[in-house]
Amino acid sequence: MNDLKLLSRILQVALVVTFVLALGGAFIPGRMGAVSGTACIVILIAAPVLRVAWLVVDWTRLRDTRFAALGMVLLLVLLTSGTIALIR
Amino acid sequence: MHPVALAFAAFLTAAIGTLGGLGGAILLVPVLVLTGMEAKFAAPLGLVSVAAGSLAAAPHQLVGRVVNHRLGVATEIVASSAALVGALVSGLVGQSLLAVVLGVVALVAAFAGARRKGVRNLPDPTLTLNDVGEKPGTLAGVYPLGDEFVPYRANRLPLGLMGMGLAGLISGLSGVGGGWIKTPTTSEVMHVPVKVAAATSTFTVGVTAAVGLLVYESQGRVIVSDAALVAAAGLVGGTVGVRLQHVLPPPVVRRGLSVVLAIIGVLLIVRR
Repeated sequence: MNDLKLLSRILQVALVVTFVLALGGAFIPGRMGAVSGTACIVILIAAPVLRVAWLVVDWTRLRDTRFAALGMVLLLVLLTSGTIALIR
Repeated sequence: MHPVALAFAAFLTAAIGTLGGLGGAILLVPVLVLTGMEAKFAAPLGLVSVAAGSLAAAPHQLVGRVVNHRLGVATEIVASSAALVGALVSGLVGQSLLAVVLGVVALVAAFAGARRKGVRNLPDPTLTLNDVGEKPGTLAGVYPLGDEFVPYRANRLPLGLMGMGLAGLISGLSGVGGGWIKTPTTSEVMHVPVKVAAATSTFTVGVTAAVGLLVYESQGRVIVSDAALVAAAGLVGGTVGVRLQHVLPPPVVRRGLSVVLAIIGVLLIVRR
């Protein structure tokens, strides 16, 4: 199994878990539903960032240094954007 | 909005958004606002729909090797940076003027996609299943089209990056995703096949949505129960959309995309 297939499996699991948590957030009343819904949103935020980080590692292993560096720059841009937006 | 109607709208917009690489927020947010939801609460739900569609599409697109991640990462740097600038200066631009500009951009993109006939990138009979995917170190690749394999290369990178900058800027200014500009830019300006463009855009809009959601969550603008319902429906819609994208011929996807863009353009101009 290559790295992208493994990433695909991980995201498939994340997809199922997110769906279950989303259903919990939508239909379970009270605190438990709120926790389930918030956990669903956390996965939706984390999944694409994990994907970019995974690509950076994959490209570094393949010695595709130019694109690995671009991936790092993108992660930095995301980190900067998130930080600036949160502190404003 | 009634929960069943909200779920249906999220399902439909995520399916269309994933199919065309548009993101879906540009469709869902106006629907929510038109049915009485405050824009400040509708925008986060739009991004939840985008993120859900992107996550739903990811496993299928990774296995199919349709996404060009290198192109996505290279262009997303410009788009995300421009989105940050757009968000920082958003208070300086009139929303009515912005809506007209957005509407005109959508109509131009719709026209550009609709007027082109045939398929730009043709299958190469010498290629096999082993050639499918990205070419390391380049912005080129091969994607499967039925039983054939189509080579492509991203052209006119500077112009394409300008388009991505515009998409990011508009995204930051307006609070909706820029996928509806990214896909036509990748397809019509950079000459990347529409299916690869749509799949790559679905990946990048998920990245942009993640940052936006983080901000909205910290501002307390995410209504968790509604967001969870939109996420569940968006995940199902995204799964349907990516499967349709796999089976539909590229000209059908392109023309369908043009129709949706034309609707978006008219909606934006009328709603301002």
